[in-house]
Amino acid sequence: MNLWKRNFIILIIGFLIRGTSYAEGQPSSSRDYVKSLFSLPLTLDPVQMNDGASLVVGNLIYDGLLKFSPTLKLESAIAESWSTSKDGKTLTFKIRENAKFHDGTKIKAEDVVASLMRALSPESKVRKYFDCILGADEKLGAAGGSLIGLTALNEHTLQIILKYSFPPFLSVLAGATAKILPKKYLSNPEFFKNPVGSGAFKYSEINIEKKEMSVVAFPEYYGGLPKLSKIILKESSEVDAISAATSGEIQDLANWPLTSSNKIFLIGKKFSSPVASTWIIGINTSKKPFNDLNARQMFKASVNTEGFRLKFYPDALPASGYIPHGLPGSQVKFNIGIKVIKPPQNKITIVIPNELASAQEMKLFLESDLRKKGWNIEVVVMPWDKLIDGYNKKTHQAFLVSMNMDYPDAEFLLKNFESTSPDNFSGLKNKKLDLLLKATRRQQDRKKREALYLEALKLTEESAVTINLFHPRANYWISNCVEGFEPNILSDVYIDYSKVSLKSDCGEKK
Amino acid sequence: MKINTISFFRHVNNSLNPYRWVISLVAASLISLFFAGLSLGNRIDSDRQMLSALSPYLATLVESSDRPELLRVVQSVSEAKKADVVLVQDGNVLATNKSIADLDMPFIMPKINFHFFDTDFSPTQIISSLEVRRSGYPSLNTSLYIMTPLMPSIRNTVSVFTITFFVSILVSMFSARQTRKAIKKTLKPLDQLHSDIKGLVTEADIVSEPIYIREFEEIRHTVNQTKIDLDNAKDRLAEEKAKKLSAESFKCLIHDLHNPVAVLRQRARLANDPLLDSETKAEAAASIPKIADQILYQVTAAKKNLEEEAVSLREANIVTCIEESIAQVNALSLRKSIVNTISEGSVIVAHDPVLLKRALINLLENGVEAANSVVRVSILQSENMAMIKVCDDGPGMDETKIPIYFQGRGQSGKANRQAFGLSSTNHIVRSHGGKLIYRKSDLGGSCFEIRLGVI
Repeated sequence: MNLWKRNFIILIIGFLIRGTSYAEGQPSSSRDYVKSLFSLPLTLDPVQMNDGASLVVGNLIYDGLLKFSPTLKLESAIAESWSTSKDGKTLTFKIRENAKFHDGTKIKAEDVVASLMRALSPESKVRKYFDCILGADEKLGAAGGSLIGLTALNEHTLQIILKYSFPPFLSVLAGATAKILPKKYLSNPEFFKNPVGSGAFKYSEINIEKKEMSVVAFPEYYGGLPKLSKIILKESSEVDAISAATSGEIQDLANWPLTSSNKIFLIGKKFSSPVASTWIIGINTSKKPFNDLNARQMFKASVNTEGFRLKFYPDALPASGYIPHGLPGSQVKFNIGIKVIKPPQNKITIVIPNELASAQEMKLFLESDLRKKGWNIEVVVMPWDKLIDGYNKKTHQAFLVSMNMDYPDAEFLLKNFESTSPDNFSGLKNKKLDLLLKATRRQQDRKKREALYLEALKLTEESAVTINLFHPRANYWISNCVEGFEPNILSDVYIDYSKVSLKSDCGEKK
Repeated sequence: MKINTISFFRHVNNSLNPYRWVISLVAASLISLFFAGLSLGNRIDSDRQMLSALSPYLATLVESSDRPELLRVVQSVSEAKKADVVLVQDGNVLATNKSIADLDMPFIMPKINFHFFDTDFSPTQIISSLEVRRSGYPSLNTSLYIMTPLMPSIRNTVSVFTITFFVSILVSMFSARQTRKAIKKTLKPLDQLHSDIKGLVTEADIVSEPIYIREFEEIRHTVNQTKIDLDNAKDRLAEEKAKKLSAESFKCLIHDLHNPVAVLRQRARLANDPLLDSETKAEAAASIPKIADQILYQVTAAKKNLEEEAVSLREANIVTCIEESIAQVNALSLRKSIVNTISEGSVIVAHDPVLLKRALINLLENGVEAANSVVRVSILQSENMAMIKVCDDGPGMDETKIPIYFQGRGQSGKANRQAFGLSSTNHIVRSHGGKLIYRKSDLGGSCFEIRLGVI
């Protein structure tokens, strides 16, 4: 699990072929909205979230100051309005007077300060996104106390002062981990077992045995009463989820990376959209033979990425680079120009999650292709908890993962390759890259930042620490009973379920 | 045949009317078309201007591959222009305000019905497009499309046309009203000119004011000069006529003297005729001085009439002269009324108002003197003659003595004044070329008719 936490990577896997108890479980209420997840949330603490399921649930029960529209426009959420000083360092937010926590208490500026302080605490998995706040370096203690860059000017006004102007910071605040929690409960270690949120839905219960969690509509939500009274989040495999959707027991398969040719689309609604995601084979530079740049570059050049895409996700876009299509940095098309003359004979193991429906086929494809090219390759299909454990311990030579972004900026993905980053899955240490990344954060000029990003991305590509497979295109399946569903081009995490409803004459299961 | 006439203003107005309406309608239509076209053109042009203005910025974003920012811009443009905006790169949709499902999918261009001024028109949209690139940089193979709904633009254009048309018509109507006023004002000097010309044929001495329009002033001056010349000519004519009339009067006098002179010769012959008895002779001799006196008296009266001021004829309304005469006599006559039965408003006759008034007063005074209760004055007008009648209900006159009174030989006798001034009256009428006639009045008394030639 640590893999996904540390790198803020959402692993969209899919996964367990084995059936779950879901199909045999108690039928849900006819008016409940059932959404399938590949996993129950691993945590309900926003600053600990880095897996897709947790982020989906977190986005339902917590709100941030800002939020993303489906097309990534920044919109007000708990903050009614905001302004930025001319130098871009001081941000002032006006908190909605009608914004309330699920216990009925009003959300105040001090709650926002406390929530952001938590994000900067040492145990936070998302500290790196907030460390541009003035005083963040000095304040490394636990939640509580004060920070010079975070000030509640009054009950409904918050001021954030940054060390330097950091253009993507507003996007960070709209991200899935910058959530607002009630200050008064934060000292309670049991808080996240039954959290009091600020989002459109209230946490209701979690049933580990049934692999089911439910949230209910929060009637005092500032955005108006959500149209769905209850959402049930079910953990299941892709196959079981599709089967349940076919029989009308599930209304939402948005958490699954379906291809457009999937038969489930013969019934129900299909929403197709790009997502800010790249599927990669990550390379660990601390493991032989990948400690050698030439070996990495030859390996990178050897993988038939386009063949992989066309075979398994033909409706995805070819991976032109590490950054998903349509985002700054995606235009970097760097060809390392290496000819594979004589691959090293060290054994190379690539691990892929066995929850993927096509895991075995992928194994055969990669092994066959690379062995033909002289590589001593083995693809291991591994349960995903083991895969993630190895990822965290950096024991894998190579691994197949999907990289999703929490905010639409190249900075988000490039941070993984900073020498000092605990999330540096590649173990890459490149001082020039570190300096470039540091410089980009302080650069306000768009074109100059772009130039720095391009240079950093070229360095990354040259370092051959990722084999970019493809940029997926999301194909969301939704029941015909569902209305108001609108995909978000960042990821399914950001779909606004407060606007989703069920048709009144569509409640009965088949 | 009577001709139906209209005023000059009406004539000008009627002449201008068709042109005014046609010009108003044509002008309103052209102006409306111009503004409607301008409105539609502006709409299209504003789309293109926005595209041009955005192009460098969009090019930067496309170069940066910053789709989130492109989506924000495209959304803002869409909201501002109330149009669909699509950014297409390499044939695929890079950003759009429409469904995000379209992103990265091939762009399907709507069916184009026609192309006009770099703008495409589909059945439902106006499509403006522009290549997104920075000046001097390589092509990005990217185009921006703004697809404006056609109907609102058409509605807007039609609204502009309609409003402009009605405003133009209103302005035209106001302009026409002002033009009518201006024409009226312009024709005022013509009215003055008309008055001056009218003054030529009326008696009234109108004081003519100068006209500030040169041509009209010249006409007015000519008219006034003509009037003066005409008056002078009339004076000369009157003098000529007066001389002629004087000669006629002398002829009449000579003619009138034929009888008394013949009588005088006869009496002188009788007085000397040896065949007659002495009584007859004596009676004839005795009558000779009387006849001689009568002849002398007649000659004296004729001389007196002829010596009076010469008649000065003016064409004027004779009714005025009659009314003034009646008024003058009425002022003296308290017990007897003078009944004016004149109905005509105006009878233009060449006459000398002073002399004719004197003649009328003579007749009226005689009438009042002789009348029992009433004197009636009337005027009859025929085609070439005006006839003034002064009748009374008195005892009447001996018709045999009328010529003697007219010739001035008879003694009128101050007691009844019946024949007072008849010789003078007769002379005045004759000097006007007219005729004084005595008749028995239907009222029982005398009735004198003055017959004058009418213009």
